[in-house]
Amino acid sequence: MSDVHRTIDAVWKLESARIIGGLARLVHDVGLAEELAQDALVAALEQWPAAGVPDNPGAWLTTVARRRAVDHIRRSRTVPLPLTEPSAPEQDDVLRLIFVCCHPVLPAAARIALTLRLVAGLSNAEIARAFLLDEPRVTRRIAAAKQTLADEGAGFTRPDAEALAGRLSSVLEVLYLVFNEGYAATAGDDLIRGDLCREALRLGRMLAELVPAEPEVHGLVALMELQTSRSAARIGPAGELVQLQDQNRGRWDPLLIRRGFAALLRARETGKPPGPYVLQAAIAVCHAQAPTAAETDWPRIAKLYDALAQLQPSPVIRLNRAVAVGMAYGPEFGLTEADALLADPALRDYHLLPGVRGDLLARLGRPAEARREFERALTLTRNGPEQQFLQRRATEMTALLATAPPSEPAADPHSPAAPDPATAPSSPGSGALPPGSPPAGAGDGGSADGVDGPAGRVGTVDPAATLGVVAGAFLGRADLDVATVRSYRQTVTRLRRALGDSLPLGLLTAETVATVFATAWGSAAPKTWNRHRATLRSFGAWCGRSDLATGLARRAEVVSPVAPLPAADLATLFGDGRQALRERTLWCLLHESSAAVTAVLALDVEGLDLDDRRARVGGRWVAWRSGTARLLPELIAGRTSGPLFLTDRRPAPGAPGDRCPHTGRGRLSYERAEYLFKRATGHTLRQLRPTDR
Amino acid sequence: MRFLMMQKPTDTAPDQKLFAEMAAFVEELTAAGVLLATGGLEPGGVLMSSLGDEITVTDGPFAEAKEAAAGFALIEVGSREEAIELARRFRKIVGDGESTIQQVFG
Repeated sequence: MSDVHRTIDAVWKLESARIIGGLARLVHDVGLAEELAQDALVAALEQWPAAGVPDNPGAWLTTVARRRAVDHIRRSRTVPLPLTEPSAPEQDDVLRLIFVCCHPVLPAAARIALTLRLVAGLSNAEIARAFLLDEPRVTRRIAAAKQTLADEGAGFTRPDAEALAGRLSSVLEVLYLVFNEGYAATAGDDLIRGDLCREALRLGRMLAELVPAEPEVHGLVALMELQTSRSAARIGPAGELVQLQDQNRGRWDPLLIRRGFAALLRARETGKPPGPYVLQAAIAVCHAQAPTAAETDWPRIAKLYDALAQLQPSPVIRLNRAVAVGMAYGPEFGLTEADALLADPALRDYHLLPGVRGDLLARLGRPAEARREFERALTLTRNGPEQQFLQRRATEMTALLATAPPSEPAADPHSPAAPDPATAPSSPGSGALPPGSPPAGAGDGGSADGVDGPAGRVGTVDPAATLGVVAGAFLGRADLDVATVRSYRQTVTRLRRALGDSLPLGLLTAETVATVFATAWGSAAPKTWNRHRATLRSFGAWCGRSDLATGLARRAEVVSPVAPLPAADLATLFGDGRQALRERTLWCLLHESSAAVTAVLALDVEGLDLDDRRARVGGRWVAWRSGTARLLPELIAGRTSGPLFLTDRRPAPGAPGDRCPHTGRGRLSYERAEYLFKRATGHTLRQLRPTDR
Repeated sequence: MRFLMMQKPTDTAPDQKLFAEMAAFVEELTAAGVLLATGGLEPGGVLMSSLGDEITVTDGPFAEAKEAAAGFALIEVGSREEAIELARRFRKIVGDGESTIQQVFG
């Protein structure tokens, strides 16, 4: 990159939000506004290297982009040309831009990508790098987000006072997600990705000036400033994670701590009740104020987590509360709180739950259990330094165990001579299921449940053998076909993740198994539950522990075919003038033709035989009746070729073909059609098919 | 990345217009979330020097006052170019003179 290019890049990062915001106010479409601003950027890239960087580069870009916007409005005449230059303050443009980028119609990942691109001025490549995604995926995500905003008519207005709180929380969530992705990188070798933290902080500080009366904004800024103040101390010399209590507090950044305090004071000065971010910032302040870890005011932190859990009953907050309680009142109290979370499905793959339990168990002098928890946590995180930390803790426990007598009860003593399941071959042909039987459905029938027949047994397994070893041997049997192993593996992997590979089989109880099942599949379909149950029974029989499945009741399977919608409702729906013509035609056609959704969406205008009320698509006929026939001419509206059902908006330049030659619009996608129907009726498109098909 | 921008003193006394423009600029940078801290510095100050075990304290003003800093701004941006771009805008406001930009490590 040349110097000029770097300067252009820098100017863009500093100015793009204001430029795009200003344009969006003119054209009422952020996607289009961004394209126009990009045009100006391209002009700069062409002109500045030769003509030199202008005196006021930001103003130059704004002027060029605005000129393009006015040209565009003249050409399209879709938006009335403003007679006078709109004179709303520029800051309001940026605020509106933030609100639109974090619009609730967008999924969280799209909000994040769009905010980083439009407000923070990051390129798709930079966003992809920051989130360890490939660039085309980010490009698609952003294009889809712009499309959704245009389709939804999200416009470019500031939410009114009533909607503000809800919309603001969506914005804060996006900023905090970006921050956390940077601060606690979920994957990769860097523990902290500073660029993301910096962007989130910058956007947060910016937002705090735009809506100064909102305490939660200041709370979030305070929280981010205080957490960032610790980032240098959080990484050890070898890149390893240093826990809060072991950090060198002298390396905490006093400037950021002071800024964090100041932001929290601003939140308090608004006089409004504290929200979740303010409370979390207050907790961070407790840490920042403690000169040493031992002087931390844990009872106060536990109280703040109490208040937080009242506002946000999330299991992660309850886990944090367990940590605080453990510190304030003793590890046994913390462990009680943490154990209560074991049955929470939301935490089943969350590495911090076993991490916290391991720590509490270690403090209670139960190193064998602690080691198991650390090893379990290890398998649940993808972050390199965190893995190293957990490995270190597990090794410490191993060292403790080597010097101390075993604290765990000896496993079943009467079978010391049992063969090691890792090496004991199971007799060929003695599989739990007959070879070739379908794996998924097999366990559902009554007969296949009878796996504990003598043929399926390998004998009693050494109870001191660990779950990991036994499970590995179970899956490694030579007599199972690939599909069965795949199906079995799902169940067994869940068990291993939930309980840890190093758990001796002798300590595995039916009760524990039942808890794991309830957490993992308690709310799953009965068929799924029964499949996993069948696997577990098979596993129990194989390793001589048929008792393991005693806590698992078989569930009745109810077959629920797609229920068609009542005809009266459909008649109302097809005649509902509030629904768009395209939607009504599509729905009516799907109902009358009974054709597959993909086939109907694949229809082209030139392929329609309006007189015979049919069209050929993919070698099959799609035929309709009077309802569709009434709607079709209006939908076609003079078009002679191209997709029958079109998107609302033109695709991005360079998007793949299959467009309408008249309007340049693309073909309506299945996902979009499904979404629109679901939003309008709460049902799925398949339910449009009549029963007597 | 953090950068420390420091400007050297000038002979011309600041007028009302400069004060107003500077205040607006500082506000804008704060609102943009890039300015962490800023301030003016007294001329001269105290010079501390150590030689062996001996530490000497000398009060200003000093002859090389022109080389000292008269004010600073600590900013947090994504690249050196962004820092330069901000400094460019700062220099346009304050007129003739010199600034330095140095990245802050750690």
